[in-house]
Amino acid sequence: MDPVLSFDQVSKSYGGAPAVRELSFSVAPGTVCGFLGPNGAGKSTSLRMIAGIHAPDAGTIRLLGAPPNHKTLKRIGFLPEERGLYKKMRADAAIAYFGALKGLSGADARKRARELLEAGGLGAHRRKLVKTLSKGMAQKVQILAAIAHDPEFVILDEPFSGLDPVNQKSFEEIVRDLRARGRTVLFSTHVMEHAERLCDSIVLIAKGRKVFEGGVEEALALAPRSALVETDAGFDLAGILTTRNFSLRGAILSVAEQNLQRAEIVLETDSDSRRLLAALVEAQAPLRLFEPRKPHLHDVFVRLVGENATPAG
Amino acid sequence: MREIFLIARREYLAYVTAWGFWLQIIALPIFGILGGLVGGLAANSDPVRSFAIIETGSEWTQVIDAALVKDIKDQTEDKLDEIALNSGLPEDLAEQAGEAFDAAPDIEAALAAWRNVVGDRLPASLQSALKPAPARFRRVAPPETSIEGLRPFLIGEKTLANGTKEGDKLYAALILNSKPGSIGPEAQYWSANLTNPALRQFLNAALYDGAREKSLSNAGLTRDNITAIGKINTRIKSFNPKRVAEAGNSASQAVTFRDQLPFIVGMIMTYVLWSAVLGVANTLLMGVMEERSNKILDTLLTSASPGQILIGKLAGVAAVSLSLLASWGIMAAGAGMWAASGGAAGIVQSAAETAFNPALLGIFATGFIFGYLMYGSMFLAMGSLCETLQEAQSLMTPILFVMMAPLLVMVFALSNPDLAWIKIMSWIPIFTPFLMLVRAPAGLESWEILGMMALMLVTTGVMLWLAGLVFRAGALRRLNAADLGRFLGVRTKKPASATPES
Repeated sequence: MDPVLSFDQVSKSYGGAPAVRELSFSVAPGTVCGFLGPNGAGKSTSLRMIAGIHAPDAGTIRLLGAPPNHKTLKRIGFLPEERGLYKKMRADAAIAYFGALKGLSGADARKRARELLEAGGLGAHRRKLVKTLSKGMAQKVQILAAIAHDPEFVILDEPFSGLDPVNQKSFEEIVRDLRARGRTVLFSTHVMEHAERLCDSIVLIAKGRKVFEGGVEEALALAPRSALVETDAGFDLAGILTTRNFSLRGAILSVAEQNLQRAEIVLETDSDSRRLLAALVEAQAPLRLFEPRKPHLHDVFVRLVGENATPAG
Repeated sequence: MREIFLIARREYLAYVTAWGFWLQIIALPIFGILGGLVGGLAANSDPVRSFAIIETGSEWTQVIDAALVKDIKDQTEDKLDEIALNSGLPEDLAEQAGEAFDAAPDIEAALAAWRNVVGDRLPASLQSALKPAPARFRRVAPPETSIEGLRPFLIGEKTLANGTKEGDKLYAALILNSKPGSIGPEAQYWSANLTNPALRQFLNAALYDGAREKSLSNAGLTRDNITAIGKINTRIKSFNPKRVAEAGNSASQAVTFRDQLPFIVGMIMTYVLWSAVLGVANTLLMGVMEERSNKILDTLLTSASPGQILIGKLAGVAAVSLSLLASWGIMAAGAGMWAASGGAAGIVQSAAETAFNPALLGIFATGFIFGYLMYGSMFLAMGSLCETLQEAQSLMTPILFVMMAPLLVMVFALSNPDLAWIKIMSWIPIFTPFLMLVRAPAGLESWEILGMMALMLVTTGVMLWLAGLVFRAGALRRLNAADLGRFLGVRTKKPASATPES
């Protein structure tokens, strides 16, 4: 199937300062794709180019089979990073207004607004003015406005920022629901857990360039594995690790009040986990804990982008 | 097109459901009514000014007493002229009634003579207004015989023993002394009021008339001769040469107050246009500024192009101002009907005929459309560059100063529409919508009307194009007010820079 979105060698600069450099990636239909990168990586610029707000300086963007244009943009939903609604507008009217701007008839837009607010748990607040809603509610109203016309492709720029955990979970549900209905979602986030939980694929960019594109499992495979080991204090853990060619992540931590020592040991391959355990048993180590650790996207991020890069928008 | 309609409708509903809109609707008529009330109150609350005369003998005191009686008659005649005009009496009938009034020996007889000529042509509601005008001045006996003695009365430390509330105060004193070798007396006018010259002017005129009569009498003229001379009244009647060609007979070519109405209506229309343009332009600026600061523009831009947003906003706010104008028009019509039922049918009819003159209405409509688009697009573009009220105010201030100019020019244009500098100013595009309307009643040449319309068309086109550029820059590239000059300057040199996003 043709991708819903494709970037081919896209570049964009402002006054000579490059924001996006020769970026190429694609998003398959019916998937949720995470768009990750540190501050100033070019994420918002890329998303604004998809939404037709900016034009690329070079390269090609294809959205739903064509360059972003009036027709294709009607089929997408876009939630910008910096959000706002008309404060003196009612919640249902705001959703209906943006739905109508995307092509719904007036009656359909109002009906859809009611349905979405009910489904989103905001039915009781639908007649309230936006300025009287809490921040979380207002953000929810805005994402509902972005999907009011049931778009094929939804672009969310930092949808979870500024939300409390309850509302973050609620937003995750909205994304899962979109995927369940066959819609494609591309979202940027600085919370790696969201990407890990929601995404089928991720695109990681830094300084305007792509550093990774692929499935989440594929990304996680790039992350260094490790195991957490705890033994009684006094055991020569460092000596065993050195003789068996294992390296430490950080230093061995001594917990005096529990009379133990703790270390995180880097595992280069899956078999290293078994090899480490065998070595410890063989050395009759007084083990208290042996826990192979599952890699996370944060680790992938740090490995690919660097320790100093903040995983943010 | 649908996007434009939806944006326009949202703008319209947002404004008409706000308190400010309704306040604006009632503000203009309220200020109009207040202005009228204050004017009427000032005219009716003018107190009767009491004055005293200190004179050796009574020769000139008698002259002034006679002038006081005549003043009431003159004031009454002015009032009758106004009634005749407002009620729509034919001009020749009003003139006959005036002559009958003049010929009568006293005020009561004069009123009866006027009433006889007019007959039942006067609406019943105005019959009660046919009475002598109240006295403006009253002579009282001096409480003291020297200016030193009168001083406490004149500065309010003492009041007169009798009289009305205002009459209790001595407003002025006139000291009259015979001057050897002179027909008239030497007069000193004493009053603590330095700003109102009415009484002083009245006394001066009365003494001058008395001295003139005395001089004529000394020259050997009889009392009847002097009276006949006093009645000589050379009245210059004005005619409008532009009406000769239209009317064809001299009676209907004479200039009356009705001929001045177009200028007054033109001035009112200019003021209404100015208020409407300023009101809606300001609304546009604030609205866009709110959208930019609330980050709504980003959301809008994914659904509509900057051009559609710009046009939608202009259309929505234009509908708001048309609603304002319609509301004011309905109120004016209601006020006119009320005034007509109260005896002002003549003046209302004339005003309505003038206001609904197709040529004047056409110029008003043209001025409104182009004025609104010019200023509206300018303010809208400015709003797209601002995120705070302070930024907006700093951009608005110079424009507001420019917009004050037509109001100031309007005052001069009313009495001297042909002044060269007014003509020149009316060709400066930002003033043209207003000054064209001010000058229209004086009669604009066809080439001037067409030229000004062409000028406004071109200027509006350029302004819309520029506004589009600035709006795009403000909305898409997030330029701010400080970047404006750089943006416009560098467009022909090199690309403007803007803050890159993440």
